[in-house]
Amino acid sequence: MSGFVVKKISKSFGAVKALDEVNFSAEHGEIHAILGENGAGKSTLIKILSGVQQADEGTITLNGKELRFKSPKEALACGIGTVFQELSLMQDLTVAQNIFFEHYPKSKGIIIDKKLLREKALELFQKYDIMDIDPDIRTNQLSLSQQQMVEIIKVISREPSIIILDEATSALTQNRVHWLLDLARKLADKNKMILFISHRLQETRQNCDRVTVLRNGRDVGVRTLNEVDNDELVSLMIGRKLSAYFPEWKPMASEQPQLEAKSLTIDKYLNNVTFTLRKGEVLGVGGLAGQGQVPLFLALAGIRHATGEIMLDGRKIVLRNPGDALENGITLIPEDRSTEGLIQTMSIRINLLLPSLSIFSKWGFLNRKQSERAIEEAIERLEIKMGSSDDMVMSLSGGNQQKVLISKYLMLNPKVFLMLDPTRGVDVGTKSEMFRLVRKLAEEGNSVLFYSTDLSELTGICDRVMVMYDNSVFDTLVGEEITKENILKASVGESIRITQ
Amino acid sequence: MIERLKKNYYRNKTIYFCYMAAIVMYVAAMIIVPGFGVGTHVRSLMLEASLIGIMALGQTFVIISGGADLSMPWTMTGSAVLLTSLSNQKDDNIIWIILLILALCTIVGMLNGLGVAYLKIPPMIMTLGMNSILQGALLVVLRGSTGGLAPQSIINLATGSLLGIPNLFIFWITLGFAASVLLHYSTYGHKLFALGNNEKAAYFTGIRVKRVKMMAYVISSLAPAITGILYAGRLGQSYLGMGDSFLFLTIIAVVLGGASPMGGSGSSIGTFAGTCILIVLKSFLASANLPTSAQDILNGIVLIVAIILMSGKNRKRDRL
Repeated sequence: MSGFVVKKISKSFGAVKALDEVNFSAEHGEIHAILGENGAGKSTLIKILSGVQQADEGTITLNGKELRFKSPKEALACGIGTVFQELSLMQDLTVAQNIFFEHYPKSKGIIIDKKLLREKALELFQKYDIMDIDPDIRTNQLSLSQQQMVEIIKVISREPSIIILDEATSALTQNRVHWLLDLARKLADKNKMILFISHRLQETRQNCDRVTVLRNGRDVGVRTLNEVDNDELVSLMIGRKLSAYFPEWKPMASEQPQLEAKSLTIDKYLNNVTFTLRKGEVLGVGGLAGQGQVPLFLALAGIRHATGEIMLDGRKIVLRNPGDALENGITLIPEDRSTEGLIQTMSIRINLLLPSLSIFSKWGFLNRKQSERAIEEAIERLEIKMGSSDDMVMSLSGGNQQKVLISKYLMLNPKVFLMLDPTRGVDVGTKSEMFRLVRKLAEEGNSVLFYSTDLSELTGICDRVMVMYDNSVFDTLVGEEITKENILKASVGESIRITQ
Repeated sequence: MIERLKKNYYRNKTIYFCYMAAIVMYVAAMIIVPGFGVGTHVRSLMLEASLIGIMALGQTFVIISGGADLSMPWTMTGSAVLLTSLSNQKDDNIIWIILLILALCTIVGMLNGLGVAYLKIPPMIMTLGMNSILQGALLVVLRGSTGGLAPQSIINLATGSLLGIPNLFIFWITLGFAASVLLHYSTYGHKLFALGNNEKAAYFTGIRVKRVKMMAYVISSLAPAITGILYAGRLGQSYLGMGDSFLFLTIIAVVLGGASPMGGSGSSIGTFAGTCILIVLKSFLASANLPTSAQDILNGIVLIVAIILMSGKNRKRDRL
């Protein structure tokens, strides 16, 4: 039997059955998508296929030969290479060193031949159309998007016959997404198998051949993608019809300003940014990646120091660190959930509790009863799916982790939410829940600054959209002006208004 | 009930393993060396364990934060020397002298914290530097003499016992209990663990990481302050260099007790077990008539092996 066949894979975590006799197969030359809601078992399946975890039961065969492996390294030796959702690059090594970390090219003697390494890396970059990365640069100087590209090249350079792309597009900017999708097709044409996991339905539709849908730990269907429509896919995933993706909402913003920024400037990163965020408003932030959006959010959260003024409720505030921002009711949902947002190696309980420790304590000691009740409420409020609150955060799926991240701040009842791409790496169902939450927060009189790389999110739930270009605010779109075309235009520095 | 015990066992597997190891080694030593661990030897084991144990409790806080405190030997010596030279055998101002010692050691801890948290000096370098500074300062001030004997009240405190249990041991258990409560029930403890596991995320969550770190070094310098006073009481005097042999022992005890040398995990119950293992091993080697140099070699090996075991555990955890 040719191709990649997964048979009756089961995996339990304590009492929770994450995978229940899942079957799945892919053929050479195919891009095969795996779709599924939050907690459907996608992450567990990927972890098993990549060797991070072992299945309790079931077999994995490639071209009729059964594969057994106990680590990502052994999986790679069997021909399965995985690009993980969380970046695994060593930040202090150069790009070339990272790519060849586990297979340095042979050189004379024992010393690493830097020139050879650079040449080999450049060869790879040329082969796979990467123009803008210098192999000798240290990895921590690359943007998230560039790091993701390096990660992809690192895996492909080992020439696996099966390549798993786990949410690999979510960290990429728009043009790089195209690069990856082209690359995937090229590899498939060379008879490789690509397993493609993405939360972006559109992207999956346009680029994959077939799809296997998972629901509640079981495989519920295989479809050929150009024979099936979106509605059918979504109802397969959630087991029922999806109500509207974006919530219905009415503009509720008052005239009263909540947060005002006046000529915020960070040398080389942020240039004279002035804007007002009103009470009850969702203010979208758009623009191409790297136009000062992240520094702006970090400055408002007290993480980066900016010159200029920040006013809250008409009062000037000074933010020296994130603690100051929290005390003023300003919270940041950071970009990188796994290193900035949550402490992966600690329990869900403690992660939820960390920001609000002082609320639930007296004389510096925790009031268990009070805090446990608040934690239960928080878990119920956003319907976080988990085994026990004592489990580590890293045992949760991406969507549920994001919910924990938002919940821990909701427990503080903040007034201002700064959300940096909060739907990154989150499944369709959770995304939709999150949009509802954002609108609800605004309805309750809070304000939300909402950055997203997905244009439809900006047009879908924002009262106004502020487009950034070249580290400053280029234009702010209101009402009818908020269309994808206008946001795109403003993103590249083109005026949408008729010059008088 | 059984379910809960099971869960508890699973979570604290390393700690149970440490206690098992301590007991196995203890029994083995009893069989190999006649007279080991029976009669008066138990008492001397307890006394020795208590001194290292109290310091290891302080070390636990710093190791959880992801650092290490190597300034303990001379902080402890300084504390003992201050006690004997200031009191000069008299009990008159003993309360004030103890308060002064605690205050000075707090300053040492604050300086360590300042260097590590605010100036970003690697903890090993900062605290080893501090150790060296304290050593030099004490030698200059005292011109080589230690001066004076310990006051009677402290001698009584350090050598007495309650219901047959040495006071020192009671001190150790009490402080261990206090440390445990602080680590697992206080907001400070939660912040400390958070910072040790992922400093960046802790900072983003609004924890004042620098303050929390500094506090860990203050706590860790109070431990040798207390130990110094008690040690001087036990010996009846102080001498320069009395803390030197403790340099790595406290770290070994904490790491043997299941704490990751990378930070983020550890407990005072674990450190207690680690101290027990260390003392049994140490006194077994001593009673086997091995020269001190050989004992030092073995201590070094134990530290390295323990660190390999613990960081191996950590690596596996990070991978998942």
